[in-house]
Amino acid sequence: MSGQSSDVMLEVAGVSKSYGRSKALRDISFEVRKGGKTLLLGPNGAGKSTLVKTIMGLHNFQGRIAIDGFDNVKEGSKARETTGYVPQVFSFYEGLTVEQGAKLIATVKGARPESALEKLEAVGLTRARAKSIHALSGGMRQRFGLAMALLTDPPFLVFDEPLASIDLRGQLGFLELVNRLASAGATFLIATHLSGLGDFADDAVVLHRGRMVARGAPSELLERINSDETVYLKPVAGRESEVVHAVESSGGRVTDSQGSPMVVTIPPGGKLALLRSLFSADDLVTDVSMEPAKIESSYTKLLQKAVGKIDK
Amino acid sequence: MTSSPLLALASYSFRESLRTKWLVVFTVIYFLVLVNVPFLLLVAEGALSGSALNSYIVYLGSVSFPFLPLLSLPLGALSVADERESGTLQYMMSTKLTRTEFLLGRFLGMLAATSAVVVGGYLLAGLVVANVDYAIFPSVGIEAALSLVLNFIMLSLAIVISTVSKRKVTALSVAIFSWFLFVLLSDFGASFGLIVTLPNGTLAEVLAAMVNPVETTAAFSEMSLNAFGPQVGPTVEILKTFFGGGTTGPHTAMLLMGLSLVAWAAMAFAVMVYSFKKSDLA
Repeated sequence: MSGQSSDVMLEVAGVSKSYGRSKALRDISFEVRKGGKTLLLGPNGAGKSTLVKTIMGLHNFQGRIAIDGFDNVKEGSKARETTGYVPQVFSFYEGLTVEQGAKLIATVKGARPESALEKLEAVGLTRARAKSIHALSGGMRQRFGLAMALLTDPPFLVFDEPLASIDLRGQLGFLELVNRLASAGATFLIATHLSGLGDFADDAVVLHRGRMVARGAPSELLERINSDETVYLKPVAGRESEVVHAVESSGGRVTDSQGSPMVVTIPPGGKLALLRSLFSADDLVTDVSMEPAKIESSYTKLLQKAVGKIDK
Repeated sequence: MTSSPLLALASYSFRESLRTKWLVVFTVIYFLVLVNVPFLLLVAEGALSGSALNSYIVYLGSVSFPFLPLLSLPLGALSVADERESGTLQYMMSTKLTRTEFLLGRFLGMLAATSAVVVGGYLLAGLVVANVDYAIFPSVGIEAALSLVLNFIMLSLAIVISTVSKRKVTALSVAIFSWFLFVLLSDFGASFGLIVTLPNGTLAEVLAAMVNPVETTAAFSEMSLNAFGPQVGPTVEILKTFFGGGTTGPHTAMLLMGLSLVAWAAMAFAVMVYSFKKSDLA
């Protein structure tokens, strides 16, 4: 039965998946609440795509998955109707034009064919309507996939490496779109190994070798990792060695002293101490800029911690 | 475009199949083979007797039944495997479409396209025959109906091959091997071995002779023209031994063969649906 009154959009409970003897997923359990924005993080081969495909009902598996209360095996059609999915590489019948493909997908999804054209317009593909799907570039394919995922305005969106083949302009457009959808209340599950989505998410699940090795809000995970932040300094001419000394006495490390600016990494607790040292008597630097630690680039530390546990 | 997902997919599948190069090439060859122009010209000019048309009908079956699986087996074998390899299958199955709807849509489209080739070929042959002797037209109809049944069976089996194969190259290889198995090897291998090891004149031998649907279809066609006539193949010979001559023997044998073909069609279709529903699609 539907659990639409529940606060949970996605329930993954004890999910395991094997390919012969090889275990691709091992006892994965987590939930995504309605309106939540969850990142699925992990290096290549961690099991992210397998988990996403399992959630979409493409794999046989052990355990239970429910989308908006619909069991994805017993009520798979209803579960998938609630979901908009953009695969890592969007593929559809290559002989069709974008418009023909969009209309076929609209019919399959029970949407009006005209709404397919509206969505194509929303992602800037109106001029490519007559183009063969075969002739689309990687970025255009992903935009096509995104438009089709949004056809029925589904409340739950699942993206597998959405920024992998999109250029910078496309990435910015994508981020703007997901932010707009998030404000409208959509729920997200985004599998990625590296992207600029860390600030967007409010939850992260870290996978490694098919296991869930960490789970929590990106800020919590960063605290747990005790991730270093990057600071860029422009030393006053002739005072570089004093700057290096100030960095080291604050617990930091100079990673690039030759370039301008000087690049420094500093643990979260050492940031204020470093600033005090730099501006205590007279200014040692002419400019300071900081880059906070990001969950997408810091999860490797979580993995390093987890590898030891898995190997044991 | 139709609003039913199943019909929309079937319609796409039909159009896509018709555009397949293999289907186009096959159709041209199939039509040329079925309409045996020199033979029919000779009959039309009176160089051969009217009864020679019977030989033409036998010829239709003998070239159509072994040749037809070469259309449905490769076409069906590439369907699911190709879509799985390209990622289209994963995308389609991530929509609200059920596995059964998807499979039926694809199957019905391909069935309609391949059946159109069969019907077209026989219609052409039938029209030519009707010009010479209209009375022979129903016999062409029986041949066409048998070809449609065989096409249904082979297409179902091909989709099973496509579903269980991880790669389309594997699927195509298995499909081609299956054609050899049904058309050539079965005579020397499995069914021959079964028949010679089973006691003569038993039901087991009769059933073993019907293991191969291509052979059963050919035997059915042969009997629909000549009953237990003088020139019969090994399968009909076995049936003749078991059922004996007279008037009821051939009818019972044909009923059994008809049931065997229906059973083949039902089983192949059921296995196709079951294997697709249970398979990993990514």
